[in-house]
Amino acid sequence: MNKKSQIHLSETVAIIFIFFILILFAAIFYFNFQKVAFKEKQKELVEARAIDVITKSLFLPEFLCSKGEAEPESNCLDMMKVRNSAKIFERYNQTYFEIFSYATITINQTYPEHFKMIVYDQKPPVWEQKKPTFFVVSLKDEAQGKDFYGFGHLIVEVYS
Amino acid sequence: MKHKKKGQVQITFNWVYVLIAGAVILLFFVGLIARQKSISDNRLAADVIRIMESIFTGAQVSEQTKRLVDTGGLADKTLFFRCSEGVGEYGIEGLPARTQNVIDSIFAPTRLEASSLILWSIPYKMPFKVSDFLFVTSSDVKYYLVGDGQGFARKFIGRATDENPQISIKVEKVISLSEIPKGGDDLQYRIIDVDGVAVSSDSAIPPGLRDIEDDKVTAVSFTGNNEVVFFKKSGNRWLTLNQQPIPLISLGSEDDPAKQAAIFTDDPSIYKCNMQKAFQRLWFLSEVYEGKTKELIKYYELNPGFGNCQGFVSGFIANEGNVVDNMVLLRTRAHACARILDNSCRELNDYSQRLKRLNQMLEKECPLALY
Repeated sequence: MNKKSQIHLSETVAIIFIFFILILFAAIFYFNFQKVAFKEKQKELVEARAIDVITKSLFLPEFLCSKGEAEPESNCLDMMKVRNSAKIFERYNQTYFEIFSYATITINQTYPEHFKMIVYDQKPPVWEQKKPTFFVVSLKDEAQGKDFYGFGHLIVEVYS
Repeated sequence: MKHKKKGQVQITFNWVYVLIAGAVILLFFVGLIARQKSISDNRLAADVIRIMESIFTGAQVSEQTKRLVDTGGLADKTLFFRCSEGVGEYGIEGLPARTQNVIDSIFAPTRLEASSLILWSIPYKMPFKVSDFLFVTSSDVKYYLVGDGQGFARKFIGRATDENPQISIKVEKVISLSEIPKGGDDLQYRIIDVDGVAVSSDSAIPPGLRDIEDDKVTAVSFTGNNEVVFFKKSGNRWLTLNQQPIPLISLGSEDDPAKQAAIFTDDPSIYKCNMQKAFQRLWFLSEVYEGKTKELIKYYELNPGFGNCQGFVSGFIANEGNVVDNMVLLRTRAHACARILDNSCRELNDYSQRLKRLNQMLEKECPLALY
């Protein structure tokens, strides 16, 4: 009779052991799935942020080419303002961080002469990936003469 | 006999054991599901707020356009909009997801419960573009305009309504408040007194709105002195929300963004907070334009053949003064108004008007203008 009880007990322990093994497998599977989903989500968020930042940059009053009371020129950056905005972004860094967050905004003129200008640069202390987005823009620089337009890219790099 | 009793005890014990183990396992899964539900609710709210933020960004930069945002899944939830000490915040009531913003001016009712939102963006210029004001409302908010406000009422209705009923704001002009029909509890009502005579402190609530919940009836009154006063329903009387009228700071163009902003928000502190955000941006932009002015001075020094141009920028030719001096005054005042919005902020209107006229002269007579 004692032996029978011992067998019973062993059976019960074995069942509980298998049950917990199964739970462990399920937990490992679930956490791995969550890890992958989290990475996917992070990637999605970075992409969304890149689009947000480039949208905001293209329509930023600090950059856009105005024409008096008329509608501003689209996809155009006023270099006379951009040059001064870079200083303002640095001076009021905390406020502009709200718009751009961790990002680097570069203006890359390709015509008539090639030059690069970083207007905003705020990198996180530690980052894993950088997502660059390019947008073709005209660069109006009337300091060089009336209706002087260059041509280049607005590059927005966001970090995560 | 002894063996039988032992067997019976063992069977009973097995059942008790199964019952307890089953209950523990069931409890574990019930707990897990409840936790997952709360996590997924919060995640959904966070996703919605993030998407709303992107939509608001898109809507804000699309000047003079109206957009519809379907909030179908959130129809039973209430969105809240706040702003204090220069920080705007919006989110879903009862859920932790919310977003904060210190830059953009968003004017909306304090609480909004609707299956769709209407977003409307208007540029705020002082005199150059400072920011885009975003107005948030819904088809569940009914606006009644009383008075004419020198044509403002008619123009506002023209702009607020649309051929597409989905993005058409529910706005109606009435001759007097007694004309307002009896309303239902499913809508929010906002009275816009454009001449500043129909709504005053302690005056009676229109009969058609007396039975509506207090929180659902608000009013705004524009005084002849270019000021705004906010009211809310308190029983059968109007209760003034701001004892000190708030000055309207704008160039008073056809679509007067500062005036329209007061229509779409129902709280004077939120209105002031959002206007102060705009003044902060004006302060920063004035510095950008001061830099541009220096480049203009340099340009006209190198190209002296353009008559009065240098005088408009830094000399003493125009009655309005010059760009340099007005820009300094504008920046200084904007800096002060970003902290305290009071009557002294009316000076911003004068400096902006002067800069606007100087810019028009530059546009007319010179190769380069300020903006």
